[in-house]
Amino acid sequence: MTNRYEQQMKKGVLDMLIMKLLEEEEKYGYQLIQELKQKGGGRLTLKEGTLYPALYRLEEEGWIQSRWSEASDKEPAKKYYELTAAGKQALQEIFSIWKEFSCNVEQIMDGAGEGRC
Amino acid sequence: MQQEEYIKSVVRKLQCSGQRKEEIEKELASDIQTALANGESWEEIENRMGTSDQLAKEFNENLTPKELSGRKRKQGFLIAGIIVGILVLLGAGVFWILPKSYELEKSGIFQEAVVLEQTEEIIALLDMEDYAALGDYADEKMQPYIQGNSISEAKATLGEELGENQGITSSYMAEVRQSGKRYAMIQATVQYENRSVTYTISYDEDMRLAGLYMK
Repeated sequence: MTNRYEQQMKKGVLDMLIMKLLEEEEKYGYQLIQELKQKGGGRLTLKEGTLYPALYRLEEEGWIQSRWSEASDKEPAKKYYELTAAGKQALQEIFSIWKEFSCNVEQIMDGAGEGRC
Repeated sequence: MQQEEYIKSVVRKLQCSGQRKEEIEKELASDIQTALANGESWEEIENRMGTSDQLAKEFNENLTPKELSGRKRKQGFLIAGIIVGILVLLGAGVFWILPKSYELEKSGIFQEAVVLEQTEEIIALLDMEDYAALGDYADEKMQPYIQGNSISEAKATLGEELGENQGITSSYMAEVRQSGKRYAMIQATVQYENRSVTYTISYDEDMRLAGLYMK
């Protein structure tokens, strides 16, 4: 049961987290999976079947864009994703919503009453 | 399962457009190559990604309805295309079967004068009830009707004695094409002493009697 709720909550923040990881520099799929795992304390593991549809969705929105690198002798061609200007704006707005939302949730769960957020 | 086979197995089970499948195939191949270069073994990678069934299922669950409808739209177009193709073939078949008429004078096979002359001969034989001679004009399909009682029974339906044949008062000729074959058709109205009779007679490309109707 906890795994199901964990998956649901992960899906809710996935787009925001991907966009955050792309804020500073472009990255490819495997790199995003590894970084999310390392920075997420092991809870934010992601598989390709979830990551790539999210990336396609964000690209469809115009919040990220992609390019293929050239293959070389040392490494294969990779598809890099980067945040667009519209994506940076959207990230700020989504994070703002998240902060308010998570505060409200904590307020209820803690039984702290109104006013904290 | 080996790497290439694994990727192909995943892609086969995806329910998105062909273009998206190609993208996913390329990205999976790139990720696997990068993971191998990072020191992961193929077994570790496969364990991490899940079986090809599991990975494909995950993709299909997470792709947007628009992505999934791309394939359905394509399938829909394909089905529609097949239906249209079948209808066109049926239509062409029906068109080919249905008779189409053209002006006889523009026919490259039949001559109006020959058709008229032969028609007068056939009508004369009918008047004389010389069905044996009439049989010499008929093609194979018409023979049983000529030799049997069909013609005499048909004449009997005209009712009373016709009287003397006073000649053709009007006629209309056309070339009819049906099922790839060409026929000369004449509709001739003959005035008899007691009444008029309209004969509709058709001839095949060899000018053999192929059809006979009277009213």
